[in-house]
Amino acid sequence: MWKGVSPVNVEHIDDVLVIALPARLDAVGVAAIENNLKEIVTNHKGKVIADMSHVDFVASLALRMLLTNLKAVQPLGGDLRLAGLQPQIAEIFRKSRFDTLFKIYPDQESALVSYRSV
Amino acid sequence: MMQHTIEVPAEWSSIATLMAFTDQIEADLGLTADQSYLLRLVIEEIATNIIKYGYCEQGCGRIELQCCYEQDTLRITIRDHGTPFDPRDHPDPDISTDVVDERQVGGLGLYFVREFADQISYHHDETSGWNELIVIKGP
Repeated sequence: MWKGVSPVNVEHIDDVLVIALPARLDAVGVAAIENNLKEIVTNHKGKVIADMSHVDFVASLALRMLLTNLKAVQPLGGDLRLAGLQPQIAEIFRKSRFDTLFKIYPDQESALVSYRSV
Repeated sequence: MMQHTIEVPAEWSSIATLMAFTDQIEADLGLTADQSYLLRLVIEEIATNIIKYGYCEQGCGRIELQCCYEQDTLRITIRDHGTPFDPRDHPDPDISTDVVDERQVGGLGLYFVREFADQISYHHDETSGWNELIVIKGP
């Protein structure tokens, strides 16, 4: 388990781990959270939601980080679903076709519902 | 025409400096959300490439970033003295697969810049050794 102060905001809702990602996922922002995020996600081994409603910038490094976590959690029977993408973030996902790799929901609540309905 | 210029050493800590510069000028220039996003993409994807490959992380070169705003159009000019590299020549990444395990992320950064920009030009000056990349985004 992560022993230090968590740089990402984590919440457990039933059996779902909800992670609130910070606003700026540029090189500096990714470096600040990526080790912590991977540890939290792989330790949880289950249903994860990344709440991106506060995220206003992502670039290729952030996509790499999210894909790495998706690849880590899926073989463990889990999933990483994304919620609350702002329009420009959604555009990045569309242009890179990352929207075909992740299940994406308008907000955290609908992402939670998607897990309950399984 | 409004213009802002910053020059930074070609080292990793300069990326944060350039991002802070963007925070500072976007309101001043009245950039649209798409223009601000493109400016951050250029810093994140182009400036990091210059530090990593252009100057081979030696930390001894310079990067100059200039933003001109005229008639609702943003012109971003980025200059460096490292190894020449024309981002327009870089092949598009393979984004065709929907299979998570097969998906690669290499090459996405330059692809984003090309996709978000209206126009990109590049020039390497043989005499001075300077590279100049100009990225244009209208309203």
